[in-house]
Amino acid sequence: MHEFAITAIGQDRPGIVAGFTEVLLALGCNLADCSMSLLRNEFAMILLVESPQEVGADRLNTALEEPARRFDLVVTTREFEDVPGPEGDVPFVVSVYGKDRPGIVHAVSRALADMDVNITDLRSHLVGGDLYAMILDVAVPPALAPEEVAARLQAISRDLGVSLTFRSTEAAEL
Amino acid sequence: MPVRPVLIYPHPMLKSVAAACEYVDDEIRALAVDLLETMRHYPRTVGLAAPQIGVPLRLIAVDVTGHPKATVCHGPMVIVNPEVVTGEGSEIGREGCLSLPSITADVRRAKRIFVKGFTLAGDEVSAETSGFEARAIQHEVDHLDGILILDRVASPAEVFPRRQK
Ligand SMILES: [Zn+2]
Repeated sequence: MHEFAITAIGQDRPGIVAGFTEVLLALGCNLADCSMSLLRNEFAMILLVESPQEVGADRLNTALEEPARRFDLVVTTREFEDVPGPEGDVPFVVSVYGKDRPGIVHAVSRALADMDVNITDLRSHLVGGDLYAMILDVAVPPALAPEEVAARLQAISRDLGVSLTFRSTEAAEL
Repeated sequence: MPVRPVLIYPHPMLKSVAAACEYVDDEIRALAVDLLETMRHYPRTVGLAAPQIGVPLRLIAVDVTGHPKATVCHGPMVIVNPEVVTGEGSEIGREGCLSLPSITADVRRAKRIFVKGFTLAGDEVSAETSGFEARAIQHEVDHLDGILILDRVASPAEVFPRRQK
């Protein structure tokens, strides 16, 4: 078995997912994790796919040429090895919002990177003219105090003149 | 056997409707002890329903004591044949489930509820609660009806894979 990460991006229209999965199914591939997003009218998807031993990168790329052409998409494929991520990270969500200005994403992400805090999801939107809103899921390493992360982010939000909240999303077990 | 194994989806009992307890007898009381002990055995676990430990009866345990998100707390509770009447307001919160260990999900729940049922002495009991404790009770009562958090999510962005520890 091989594992591939496939990405495709292009102008949205009905049939893209059906067109791709049809090709993958015909190759005997199994879809594992998928994520798809529509930003304005740009559609992007990431598919993690398990392919049979005899379906390597060449066969996969050749087969994907047809839907890529038909839907005018930029497609990439990459074989990957499933490596487990770090354990014990604590999940938090960060909301940042305020008047739009250049550098918000960079300032927040730079601070997180400097503390070795990983961003696991990020959505941002320019809403209603010049209100910018960004929501991030982050994973704080167990050795790092969340209060320290919160303080650092608050300092940055003050410099940027935006509002920021940092809160735990660790779920209770039920 | 006090701490019992927790059933993991796709075990069919997790998608079945549990039967009402006809009497509160020693068997039910012994089951309640196992339910509480199993709940306490797992870290960060604040509720458990009888079907999760393989008993298809309407019995739940909830204990949000000391939880930072709890605003109302009735201490350790075991409710036989619980019924929930939802009250005003709703809010979204992230929930994990021992029976779906590889994900967490954001679920909308009523903010205030009125719950009634029977104690382990067989007496009728009712309580009003809100916030995190109300969320826990609603999650457990869902288990009695074969409803899991994946049945409650409103969009794919509300389901989060997590790493097994
Ligand atoms: Zn559960």
